[in-house]
Amino acid sequence: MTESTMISPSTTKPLHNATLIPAGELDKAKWQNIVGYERGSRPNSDEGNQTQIDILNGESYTLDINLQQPLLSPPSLVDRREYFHVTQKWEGYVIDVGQDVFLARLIPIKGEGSELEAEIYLEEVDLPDHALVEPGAVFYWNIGYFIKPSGNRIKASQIRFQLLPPWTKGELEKARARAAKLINLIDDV
Amino acid sequence: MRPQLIIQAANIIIRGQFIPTMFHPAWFATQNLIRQQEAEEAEIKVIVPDVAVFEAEWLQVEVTRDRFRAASFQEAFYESLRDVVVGTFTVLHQTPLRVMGINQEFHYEFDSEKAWHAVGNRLAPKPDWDEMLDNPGMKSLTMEGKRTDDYTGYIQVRVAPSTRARFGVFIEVNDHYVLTSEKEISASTSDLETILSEKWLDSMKRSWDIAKKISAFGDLSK
Repeated sequence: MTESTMISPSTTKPLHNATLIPAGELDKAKWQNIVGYERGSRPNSDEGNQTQIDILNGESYTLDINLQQPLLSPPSLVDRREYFHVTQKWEGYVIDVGQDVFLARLIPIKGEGSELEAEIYLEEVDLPDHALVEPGAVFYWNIGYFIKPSGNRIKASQIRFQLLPPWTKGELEKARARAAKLINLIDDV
Repeated sequence: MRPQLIIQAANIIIRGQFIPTMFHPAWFATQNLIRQQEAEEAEIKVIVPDVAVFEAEWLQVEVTRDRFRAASFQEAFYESLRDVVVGTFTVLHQTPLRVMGINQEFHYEFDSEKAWHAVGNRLAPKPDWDEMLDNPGMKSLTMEGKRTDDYTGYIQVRVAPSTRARFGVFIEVNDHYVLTSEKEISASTSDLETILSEKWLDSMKRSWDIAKKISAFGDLSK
């Protein structure tokens, strides 16, 4: 399956910065029936804009549409002249945490080298992730350069911790049951 | 001079059955898949019953009723991108899924027209075409290879002139997987999680190697 990064507009109706607004105005609208729901539109006072009104399953939504804009904005691209070129990347997990540093095991994902242990300053970690630094936590460490349009390179390092959905009650119970089984196996040896 | 990589991106595209309106940045933050601040600062392009599109600092998400796409233009976040998708379908483990593509895109810029043409000439040699067309040029080339692992699917590579640079080449590598059939709903999300966990690094490395080899066709310094 090949997919273009860019999304081609699938209809001719333009839509830009649409905001979902419940319970719209129904008067003065022109309606058309589309299978499953009704859609209408009425012009706004702003030139080049109209309000689209959708009713689906009894709920109504109004959208302010700018007629000059494409349906779906193509994904914005990074300024092609500036980007973070990664030269070395590790996946790591925390072994121990101290006051200013933490000890971690690093597994190379990109670049040279083999597995190693390292002490890393906590200040290297993205501030929002400080609360995640605990034994067993997984993180990704990228080292490289920001390359500017002028050709100047700025050395850069980024540590970001893995985010996972919270354990569900069922998953916790399964994990506990499995742990109990393993403990029993060890005790039997 | 060696060709310069000017843009790269990775995306994961999944075909299945989705409810676009639920893929709001706030939902991703609630599920601890992105940071709260990233969700608050995300730009919502559109969220309506048929389509949802938003852009966070490093993540783009586009969902229609039958297609889910998550992408990042920053290599430093590729593993986080993978984690978002794994986490999403861990939570939504009952979602019917059919196929998945792990894709990487590269835009290379060459320092001369000659170097740029060298890539096209290598991939689509001109002598035979010269007999059939006047001034032929390669517009796009797609090659497909078989998978060497136990999964059903293929590896596809597309090369075309890049629109991002005067003498640019675009290379796209599509690592395509057919997930378990629709009859086994929960198994398909399990397959997705397994593939993304176990095959991600191989996929990234393979794409990189392919892109480097192709771009090297235009390295006239060698």
